[in-house]
Amino acid sequence: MEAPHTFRRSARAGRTPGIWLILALLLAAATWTQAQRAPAPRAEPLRVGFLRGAPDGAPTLAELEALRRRIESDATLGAALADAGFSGAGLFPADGAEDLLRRLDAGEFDLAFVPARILARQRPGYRVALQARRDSDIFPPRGGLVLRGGAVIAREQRPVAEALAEGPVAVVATESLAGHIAPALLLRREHGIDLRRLDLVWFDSSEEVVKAVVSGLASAGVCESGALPAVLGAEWRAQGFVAVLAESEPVPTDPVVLRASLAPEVSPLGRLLRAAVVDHAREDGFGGVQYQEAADDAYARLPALLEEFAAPREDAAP
Amino acid sequence: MSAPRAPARWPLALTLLLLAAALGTLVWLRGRVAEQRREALENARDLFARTGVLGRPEGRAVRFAELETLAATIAAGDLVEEVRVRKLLPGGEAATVVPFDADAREPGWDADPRWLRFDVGDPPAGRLYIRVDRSGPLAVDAVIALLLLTLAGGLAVLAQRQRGKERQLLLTESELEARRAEVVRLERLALVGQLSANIFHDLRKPVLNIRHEAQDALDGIVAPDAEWLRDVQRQADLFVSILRDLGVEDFARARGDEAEWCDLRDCVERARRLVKYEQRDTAVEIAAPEESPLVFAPAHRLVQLVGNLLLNAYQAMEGRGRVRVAIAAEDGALRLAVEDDGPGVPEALRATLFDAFQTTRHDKGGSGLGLYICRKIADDLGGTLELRESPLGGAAFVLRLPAGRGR
Repeated sequence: MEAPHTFRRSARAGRTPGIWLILALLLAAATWTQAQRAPAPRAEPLRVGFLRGAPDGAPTLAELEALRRRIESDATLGAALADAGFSGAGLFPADGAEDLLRRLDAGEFDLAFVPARILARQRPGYRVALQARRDSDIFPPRGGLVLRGGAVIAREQRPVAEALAEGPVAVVATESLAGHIAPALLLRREHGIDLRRLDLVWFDSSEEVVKAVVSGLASAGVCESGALPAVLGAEWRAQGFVAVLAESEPVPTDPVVLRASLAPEVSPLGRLLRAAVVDHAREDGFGGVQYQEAADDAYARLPALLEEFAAPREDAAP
Repeated sequence: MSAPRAPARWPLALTLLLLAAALGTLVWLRGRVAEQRREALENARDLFARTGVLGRPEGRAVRFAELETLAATIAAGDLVEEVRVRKLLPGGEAATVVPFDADAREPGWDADPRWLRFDVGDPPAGRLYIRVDRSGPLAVDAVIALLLLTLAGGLAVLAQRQRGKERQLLLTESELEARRAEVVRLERLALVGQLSANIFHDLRKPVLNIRHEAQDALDGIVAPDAEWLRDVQRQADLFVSILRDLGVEDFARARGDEAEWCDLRDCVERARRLVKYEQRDTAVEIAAPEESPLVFAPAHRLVQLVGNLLLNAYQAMEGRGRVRVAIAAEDGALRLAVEDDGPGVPEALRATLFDAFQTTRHDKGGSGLGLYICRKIADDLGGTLELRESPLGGAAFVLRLPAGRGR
């Protein structure tokens, strides 16, 4: 009598864990199925970086916000973003050039509108996808490298050194490659003048530099060449309000960079993003600035130029 | 035919009142608009100062983009036509920064007095120039000026109308006075005419007597002896005395109003003789004090006045009844009453009794001027003439002359 009793107890004890195992398997299967049906998690938006208050044709916050809405509202692009795991697109401004460089190095942005100066050294995490282009720039008709010149201007034609020594010189921020760095190198190379040692008055853009010279706020100015027709109109030379004292060599315009994994050569999403920026610019979304395809090699000479600019010159005259 | 009616003044006055109210409202509104404009301009200046778009006072940097946006925003207002901004530079110089090419395009543009100037900041970093839109205020000023002119014109018309009325009144009074004088003269001529008939009647008898005496002498009926000649002389004396007593010569002769001391009773007697031709059977009684009062007045006018009153009584009683002329000194004045026992004056006639041409005897040659002339003479002498109830039962005309003209 004892054994059956024991058997019955043993049998009851062995059957209970089996039921629990079956239930656990069913629950796991349901959870897995549900997980398969749910959309992929969108933890991060596409991060669009830019330099807040960048000079000389850099897109404004409003223009970039319009671009962001365009990206999100485009069905194809939206689907591509979702496939890549992005939850839409977001704008991420950098407060100053240093902040922008630091965040680029940290790989924080997926797409970035940046001054050309950041390409002073190669940044392996990013690839140049586009280049800004205005009507006043120098560019081949069928596409190719877009260059922009710089100029030293004054209210009347006179020797450069004399004009710069007379009074305050209006300048734009050093983030402007054509508006500041190229003319500064010109002054150093050809006139032996160190722009940094002059009495400088800083303005937000090359256009404002032109206005400062015409209005008399400054006796001379250093700016992009394109700012002259942009401010004074196509007939600016005939007006005689301002004279160009010297013109610097053309330098590449500002690029748009994409994270290397989104480079158009390897990523369909990258190609869609590049097309979206181009289309947005073509529809006057960037205030007359167009964007055309470009590659890293457009900025190959840039490190050398910037190195020369940064180097102190003992023989430069003030 | 009635005289043309003068245009009523109240519509014009009401219009002018409304104009004045509209003018006041316009001036008030203009003041309000000017106040709001001043506040708007001060706010604009403060906005430039607060935003710091003109940079530091000692610096040269400005924020062109924000400056231009701010200036465009202010210029978009209804009251502002254009906005310009100058940056004040160290050393007392200034540069026009909005628009940046203003100095290059229009040197000396700020000499235009239409620009209002406001310093921005303390110490000033710049100067704000605002050219206000004056078309609205100018239009309001034009309307105000037009209303003022209209108002002044209306007032001038009102004043001219008033002056015209006063002038017309003076002319009318002057004309009326001339007509009164003419009426008096005509009445006197009428009296002279009536007198002439009476005189003829009175003079006829002695003249006829003289003629008859002369005819009798020529026919040899009588011998022209001394008695006969004395009789003819008496008839001639009567003729002369009648003429003298009647005083026709004095009455008809145009004389001035020379005042003199007159015996009132004597004047009554002369008047009675003057209108004797109408007396017929009417009994006349003169009641006067022992010492008859003297009056300093033109005698012929007193005679004319009393004569008319007597004539009026004779005619009212148609040659019958009784008339009493009572003379008395009363309360420092002289009172002369011509009372009768006739039918009196009907109540309906009393209100206009002394008006010119009021008579019930048109069919009998009455001119309606007798009592009017009496009242006029009484007024001229500073006295009064009133109708009273007669103690004799008829009418009584009471003349009062002030004591100053009496003895």
